[in-house]
Amino acid sequence: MKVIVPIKQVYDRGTIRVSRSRGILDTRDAKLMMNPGDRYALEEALKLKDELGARVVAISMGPEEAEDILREALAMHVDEAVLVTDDAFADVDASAAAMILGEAIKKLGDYDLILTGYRAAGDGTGEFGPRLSQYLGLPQVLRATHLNVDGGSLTARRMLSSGYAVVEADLPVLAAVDMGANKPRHPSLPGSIAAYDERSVTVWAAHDLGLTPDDIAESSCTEVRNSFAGPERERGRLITSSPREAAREVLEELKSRGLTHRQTVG
Amino acid sequence: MDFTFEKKHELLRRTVREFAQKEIAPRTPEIEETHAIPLDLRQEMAALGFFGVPFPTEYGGSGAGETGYCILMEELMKGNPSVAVLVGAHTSIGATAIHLDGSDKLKQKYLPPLCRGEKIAAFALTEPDAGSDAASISLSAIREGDSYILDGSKIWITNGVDAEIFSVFAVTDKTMGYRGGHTAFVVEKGFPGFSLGTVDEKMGIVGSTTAELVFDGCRVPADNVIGQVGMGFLTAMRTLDHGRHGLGAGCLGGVEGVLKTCLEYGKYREQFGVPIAQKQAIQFMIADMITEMEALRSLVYRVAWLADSGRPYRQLGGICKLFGSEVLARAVDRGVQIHGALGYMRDYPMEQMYRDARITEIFEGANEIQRVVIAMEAFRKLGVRIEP
Repeated sequence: MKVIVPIKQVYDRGTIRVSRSRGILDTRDAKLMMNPGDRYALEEALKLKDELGARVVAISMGPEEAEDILREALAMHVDEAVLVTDDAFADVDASAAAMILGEAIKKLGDYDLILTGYRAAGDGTGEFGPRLSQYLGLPQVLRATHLNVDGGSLTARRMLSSGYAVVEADLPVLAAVDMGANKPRHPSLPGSIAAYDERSVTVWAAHDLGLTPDDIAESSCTEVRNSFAGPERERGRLITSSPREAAREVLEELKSRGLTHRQTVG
Repeated sequence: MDFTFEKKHELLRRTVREFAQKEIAPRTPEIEETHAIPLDLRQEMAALGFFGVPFPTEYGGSGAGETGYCILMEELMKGNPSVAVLVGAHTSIGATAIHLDGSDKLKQKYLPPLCRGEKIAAFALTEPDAGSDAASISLSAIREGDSYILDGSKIWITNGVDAEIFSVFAVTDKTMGYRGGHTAFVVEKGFPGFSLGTVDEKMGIVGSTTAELVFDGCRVPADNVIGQVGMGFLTAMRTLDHGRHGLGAGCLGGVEGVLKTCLEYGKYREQFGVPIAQKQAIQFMIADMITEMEALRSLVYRVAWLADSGRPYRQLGGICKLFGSEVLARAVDRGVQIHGALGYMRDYPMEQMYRDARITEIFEGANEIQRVVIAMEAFRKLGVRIEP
């Protein structure tokens, strides 16, 4: 059984500054990390490795620095890591990304399951999983939790806005694992050192996938016309009095808005 | 000259930091209350390889070297000092004695379960009449067939309650003294005649256990001698020399924790209509803390680099322990002062930081002994011999 997990390197939100005057995100001092949502997909894949002996392949498209998150995945004991990197892939949209990674996944050979995060911390469109499943002609389960592979099929809960549906699909299938579906594991310490000392990351460029700049342009469908900072939120009322006085003021405020109700105990 | 960390060490730091902040730090109230490190936490750490970081992969370690070990101690200390001491005493002295001087057979037998954290190690040297004066131990070991019979006791043994494997130093030949008369042994908790004595209550690091070990005709196989018979004092000193930069690294993490707490407090606490960060008295204390912290960081990782590149570092290791523990002592003292009365109250973290820090000036060679050794070395080069 082979499970492929596409992961993405994103900026740590807490380290990005918003420049309102220039209408841009200032990422000069920002730190890069593995997309938090992808950790849930990796965890599901690694559980299948622990329980069923699945072979887990982590794959990422991005600049050379994206190798860092693949090494981190190796430290969590994935079996193989592939970086798809090329200047031609810079700033592509979700549609082109799905095509590029789709080609890379085809090059990896047969597989049973593709597990993605539900949405990336970067643009947060949640489009990548569905587009990849469409490109590869696979059934998809979005916002999946409680994944269970039995024989040739996957059963999972698909989270809805209220409640969930239990769905079943024949393998191969793509599931976008929901945030909070599990407790993602930490990399191991021997794994962290071995990820650099002993393991390697396979690197593929556009020509390795037989892709030309035209292929990428053709599969793109997004045009960014403008970027701007969202409306500034009004500052809330700041209560600065002593703790006792502040607690009283908060309670008054809540009461005056009808946000509390008296409950009789006993 | 290049001061950057290798990528593998950066990943190791991120991994340890994440775990220390998310999984260890939130357990601090429980550790303080129960005076123990929760077993499930220890097991999770064991599974992730926290107990074998510097040791070679052939024994189940991470092969992260002394740089990796210093990173581990720096980050663990910010998570919880008791947990850092559990890992520190296990790794840098308990298991290191076996790794440094043990036979291949001994290493093959004991290091893998220690690296996997299935068993915890401790280092047993101190006795009632042999603290800084480690040459004065009296625990006796008498050869009897294929065994040695150990009689006597050890006190203040860090990890005493948790450990199952002890590196124990005993007198095999009284007439020879420490030069040729002391021998190191691996003693298992289950050996007949071994038992725990008094379990000590401490001022700080209350989650780390400290206990008396009692040897009452304790039978230890002769195969469990670490290194050569009669060379135990050297093993003890070499092991302690090996552990000191790790302790300095722990102190570095401690200072980082104090600084973070003080910066946050200085930002929010208002007096005379402004945050106290605006006051020069606070600024000077913060600036001194940062200055000493950065000097310590340079020292710690310079020693780690010396160790990993096979260069001598013995004296600098001692300097690292001495300077680190005193930088931490000054930092916690300033930290309490910056927090005022809050710094003295149990409900706020500074009070625990203050108590936890104090031991670093005492254990693994009191600072006075470090000073003597540093001076001894300096005079030795001029042909002047100093006896401690």
